[in-house]
Amino acid sequence: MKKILVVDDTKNIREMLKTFLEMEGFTVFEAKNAEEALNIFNTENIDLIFTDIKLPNVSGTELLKQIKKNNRFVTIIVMTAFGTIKNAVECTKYGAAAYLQKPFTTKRVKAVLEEVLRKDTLKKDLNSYITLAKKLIEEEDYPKAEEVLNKALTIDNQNWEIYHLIGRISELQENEEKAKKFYYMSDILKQG
Amino acid sequence: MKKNLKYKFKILLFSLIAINGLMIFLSIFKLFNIRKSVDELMTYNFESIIAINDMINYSEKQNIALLNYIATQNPSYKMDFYNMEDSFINSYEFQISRAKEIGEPEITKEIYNSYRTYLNSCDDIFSKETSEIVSVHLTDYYDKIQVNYIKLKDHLKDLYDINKNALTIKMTHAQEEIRLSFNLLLFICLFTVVFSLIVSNRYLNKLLLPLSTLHKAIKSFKDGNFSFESQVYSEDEIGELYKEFKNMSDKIVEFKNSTLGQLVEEKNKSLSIVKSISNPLIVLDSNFKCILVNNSCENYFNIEEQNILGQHILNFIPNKDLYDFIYESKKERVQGKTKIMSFDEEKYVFNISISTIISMNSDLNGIIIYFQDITKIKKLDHVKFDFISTLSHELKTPLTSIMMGASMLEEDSIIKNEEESGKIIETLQEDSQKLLDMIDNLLRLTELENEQNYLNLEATDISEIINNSIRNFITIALSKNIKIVFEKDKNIPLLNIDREKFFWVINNLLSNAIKYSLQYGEIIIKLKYRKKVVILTIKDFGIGISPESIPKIFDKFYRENELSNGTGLGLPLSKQIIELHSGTISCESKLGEGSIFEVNIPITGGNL
Repeated sequence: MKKILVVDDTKNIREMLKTFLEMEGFTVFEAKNAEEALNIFNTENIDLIFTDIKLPNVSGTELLKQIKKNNRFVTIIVMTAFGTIKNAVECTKYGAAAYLQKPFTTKRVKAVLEEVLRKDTLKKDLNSYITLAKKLIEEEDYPKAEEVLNKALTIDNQNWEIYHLIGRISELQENEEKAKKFYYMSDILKQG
Repeated sequence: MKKNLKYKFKILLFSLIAINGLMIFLSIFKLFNIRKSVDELMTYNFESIIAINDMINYSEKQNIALLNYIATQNPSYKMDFYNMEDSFINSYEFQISRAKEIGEPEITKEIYNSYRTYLNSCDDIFSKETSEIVSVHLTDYYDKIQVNYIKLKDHLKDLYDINKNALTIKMTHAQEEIRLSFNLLLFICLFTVVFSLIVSNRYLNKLLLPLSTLHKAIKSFKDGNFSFESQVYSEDEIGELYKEFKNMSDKIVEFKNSTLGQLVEEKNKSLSIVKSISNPLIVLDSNFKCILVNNSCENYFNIEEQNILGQHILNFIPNKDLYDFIYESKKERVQGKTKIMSFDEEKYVFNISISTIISMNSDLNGIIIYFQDITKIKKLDHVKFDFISTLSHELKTPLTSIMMGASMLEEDSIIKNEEESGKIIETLQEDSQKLLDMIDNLLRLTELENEQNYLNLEATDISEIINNSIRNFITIALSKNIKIVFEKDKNIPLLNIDREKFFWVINNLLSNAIKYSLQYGEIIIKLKYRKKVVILTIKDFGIGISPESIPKIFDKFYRENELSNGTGLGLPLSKQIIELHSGTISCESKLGEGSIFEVNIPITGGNL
């Protein structure tokens, strides 16, 4: 059972979200400001956070940054009433997985949740593919490794590590031109 | 025309010709004189001397012929002798005709006589027979002839001397004459030159000065100076020209004065309009140098026009962006190009528009920079933006829980029990009410902000309003076990206020006091009258307000903490209403100890 933390200074929104998420089968924790949120986050093993941007004292963006600094894999969904693109871009830049614009319905929450969770699973799949590919490379089974990596590319074609690994396989297979091409792509993605 | 220009030139020319003619005449006369005296010299003296010399020669030759004859008795000598006589006489006759000097004719005659005597004495010799002895002849010669010959010779010598002296004297005279003539001519020449120079100079000056004055006047006409104050020099064509020119200049000046006066008046009018424009304005020339700034510009940029006239704009407004903007606009010659810029570290925001002054021959005469002060508009814009975003946030918050609740109720399959749906419905009602309150308050606030006279003033006993309000809240207060105390002075006057709105204010303040009071608390309401001001204080012993929040509590949508759960508009609205009654509201508070709200209302009330 996944643990979700809801951070909002408005009591009713917190309670509504809690009711809904509990109905969906999550364990829900509530926090009315960033300090409380951090306390709960540090004591409980939280998987997902819903947070408002506008919070008293410490803002939701700041909270997002602080949590993301130490826990890269926590999924954070940002809620806001200021529907500006600038805001959304800023939040995604700091690592928010999704952006929920107020006011929203439970359907919307559900859709966002599903999307986020799907991405999480894919990410996990991706990681397992990469691990497998690495293992296969070690075993010098290059065609199989490349096949696995190609599958990984269908999930995420923006991952530098995949390109790097393909490059390495090509290098080991003495296909230098291809290796060069993939290393180059990998470098670009890594920088970008 | 009696004294026309032609006449004047003729006089000048004729006088110069006359002077030259006189000079030539004098020179010819002098030359003639000199020639005459030289001629005289030649005719009388020089030729005389030649004749005398001939005479001397002939007489000497005769004498030699005579002596030869005496010695040789050769008749050819006798022939020679007589031939010489003719020549001598010829010379003598020539001489006598030229004998003009003093004593010359006498001596010439004397010569003739002595020559005759000599010839006579010679005749004796020639008449003698050849047989006679030579010695006899010689004796005769020495005795009789030689004396005569010497006498003749002496006379001739005298005559020669006379003529020679006369020649010398005359030569000296002639030289003197030449010298004098030369000097005289030189003097006359010099005099003529000087005289001509003076006369022509004076006359030409007199003739040409008016022309050069006229030229100068025309030149200054070109520069816009139309006055022409110069006396008329003469009555000739130039004089006429002068008169006409003067008339013209007078007319122009007259015209100019009439139009110029109007123009100056117009200019002053325009200038004072420009000067009094409340926004800054600068006029620059084509080299970005200051021609004019208005009063507002002096104040905004802290400069003085007199100090910056003719200075480059960067000297007094050192803003590179502004300069670049002006420079570009000048280059493109666009009219009314605008740009928003801030100055003085964002203290002022101007909408700067630039126009160029183009002269008739499409030269750039100036650049007008107009600074429209939009600082307030910008601030207002900011406030408006803030307000709208806060408002949308405030409205969206209750709306979120309403929409969530509604969507949950829609999917009733996920709701497990009655209790849950009841809770959702309760939240829906609560938030709908909150939304309504917020919109109501907001409308009231905008109403008050828009219509200053939206007050229904009437003489009101404020303590009655307070009592009504207390009655309203007594049940809620009792439920929290809060005691409400109301103390008032006896001399509270009636106030001219809007009863309904004041009731709302007191309700709001009392509701806040109850909301933030703890269980078993106390609320003290006091009403006092001091110096024509009614003072209402509402004191609670509740949670209080943090010092940093106190200045913000009258701001729209400010809420101290989550507990408040209000609209965030109550206190701002109360403040607005009190201020409309010329009153004030203030707050003192300590966190954990409670708050005091003090409202001061002057007895003039809403009668502003």
